[in-house]
Amino acid sequence: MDVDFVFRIAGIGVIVTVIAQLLTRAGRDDIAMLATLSGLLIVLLMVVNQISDFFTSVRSLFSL
Amino acid sequence: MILKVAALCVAVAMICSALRLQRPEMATAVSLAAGLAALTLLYGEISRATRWVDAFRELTRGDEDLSTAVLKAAGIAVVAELGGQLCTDAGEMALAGRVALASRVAMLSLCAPMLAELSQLLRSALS
Amino acid sequence: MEIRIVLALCVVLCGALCGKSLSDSARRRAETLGSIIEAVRRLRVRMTGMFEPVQSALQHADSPLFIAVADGMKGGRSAGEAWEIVRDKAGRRGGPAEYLLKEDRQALTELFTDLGQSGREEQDLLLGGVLQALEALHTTALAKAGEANRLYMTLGLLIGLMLALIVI
Repeated sequence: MDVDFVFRIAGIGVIVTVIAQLLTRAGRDDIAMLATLSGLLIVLLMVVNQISDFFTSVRSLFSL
Repeated sequence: MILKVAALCVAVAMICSALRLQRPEMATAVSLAAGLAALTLLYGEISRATRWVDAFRELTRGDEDLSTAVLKAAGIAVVAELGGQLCTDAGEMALAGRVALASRVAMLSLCAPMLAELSQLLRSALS
Repeated sequence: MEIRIVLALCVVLCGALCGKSLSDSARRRAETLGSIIEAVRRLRVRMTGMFEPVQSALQHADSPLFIAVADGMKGGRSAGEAWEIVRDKAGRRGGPAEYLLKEDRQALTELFTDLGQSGREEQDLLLGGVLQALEALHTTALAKAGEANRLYMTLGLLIGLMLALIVI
């Protein structure tokens, strides 16, 4: 995993925040909620792989 | 190494403080990713430290169980610390407590055979 | 590295263009209303100024919708009856009234129902009233089109940026 990954996720987080704000201001709160949930889902999917790799390496390193 | 980790964590902390106002769940996800990235950066150092267990193994004169138990305990501590702090950051103190409890139970079950051996040793010494 | 940046820029641009095309319907509504207002002005001049019959004036109003209503009047139907027949077809995909909303069609129904049913002065009043209503709808349609254009383009840009971050 390289450090770019973290800033990629941060970038996605910021963009999702802006999209949700825009949609809320335009009066479409339900779509804003959907956009937030979709963004969160995308980010979690990206992070889950890294978590799995991390726990595999911890398991191998500490013989758990 | 420490500079890299510190710089990364400071940068992400600032990003998270901005995100937390509007989207706390995104801030949690970003801090999770940053934590994993920091630990990955430290991987080299951690693996070097685990080689010290070989030196410890020398001291225990080939008692494999003991050195393995120490290593496992260190691993449980790392994982529990990460999980607990992430839960605390996300505002879930109760969940952080459960992670801590699980780590204590895991370490206890790890130590149980050694404790049993120790109590037997003491009993035989006292009798 | 440069290829990645260029690719990311292309994705962002595509997102913005997709957003722009999504806001198309709002812009088309404003355009359609604008052309209908012009047609009603021409109709008013021909009917109240040149005393032309309704069907002929509708034919010469230079609007596909009005020409469709004029064609519907063949066989002795009134403008209102012709509009009832033409309304649904005109509102379908590719029709001249495709992008009009309910309130726009309501204003047109009020126009065609009473068109050619009274004297010159009453027709002038009717056409004047309908023009006012259509102009008010046109103003709000223009404002909404501008707003929708900005919103959808920004959303498209942001989603393009997000896709570029995820994929590239």
